[in-house]
Amino acid sequence: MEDNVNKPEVTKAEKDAQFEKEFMPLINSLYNFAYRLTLDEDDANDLVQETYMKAYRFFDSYEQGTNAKAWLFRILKNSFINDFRKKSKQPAKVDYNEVESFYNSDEVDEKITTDLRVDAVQDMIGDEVANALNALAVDFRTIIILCDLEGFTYEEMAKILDIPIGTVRSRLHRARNLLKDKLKKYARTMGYNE
Amino acid sequence: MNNAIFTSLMSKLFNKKKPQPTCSECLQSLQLLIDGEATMAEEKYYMKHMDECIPCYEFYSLEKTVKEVIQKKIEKREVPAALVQTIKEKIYLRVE
Repeated sequence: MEDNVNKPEVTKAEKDAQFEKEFMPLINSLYNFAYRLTLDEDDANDLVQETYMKAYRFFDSYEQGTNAKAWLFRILKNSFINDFRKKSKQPAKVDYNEVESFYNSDEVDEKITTDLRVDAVQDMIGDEVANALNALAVDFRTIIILCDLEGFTYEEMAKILDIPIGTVRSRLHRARNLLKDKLKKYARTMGYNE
Repeated sequence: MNNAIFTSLMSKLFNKKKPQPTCSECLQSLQLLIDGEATMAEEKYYMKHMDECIPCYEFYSLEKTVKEVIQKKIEKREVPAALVQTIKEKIYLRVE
């Protein structure tokens, strides 16, 4: 083994080309995520911009060909926590003890999700569903977005959110129950019989 | 599904309250199925289980529908061209 491995100098042009190829195609996904987090177009723009700037600055620490999308989403999520949550009116982080114990208990809360009907959900329009999602606390909203809209696996979500896989599962379960509650309220106002 | 439909009808006639899955293991496992995280053995087991268990079948059906509706009906926004442009300018045209 050589003592000095000469790392080939990557020119800026090469770096830019690699960055463009791996990261720019993901901008639509990132923008949608940023918008659903901030619920504000200007904030979403700023958040996406900041994410790409950081991604470029730390491009060396990214292992090429590995999970670019998860890497970027993680940067965006951290930027959001650091910069935007302080400014926003979003509720504070949820009490995860509550989430964990709910999921682990064998008693099922009968109030949850009993009467929401499949056909009522299928008949809902995009706005109603989006409103229900936006009404969730940001941590619950986030996990549904990552799982259902962006298709990340549990393992990927665990890395993006910096939480154990068990917490991914329990938070997802709780988030979905809360979402169904919201959808049930909409169904009621739309006049669906239960 | 005949067995399940019959049981469902009977349950509706004689029991107004909708039964819920009472087993937290079922709830956990059904979520794995929804998200494609179940093993083949788990998937096979629970698909068969749902033939005989109305609460689980209905829970699974609803969860699946909610996920599909989220995926299909929530508007996907287009990233503003101006934003893409700004980012490219800031990153690429920087003098290192």
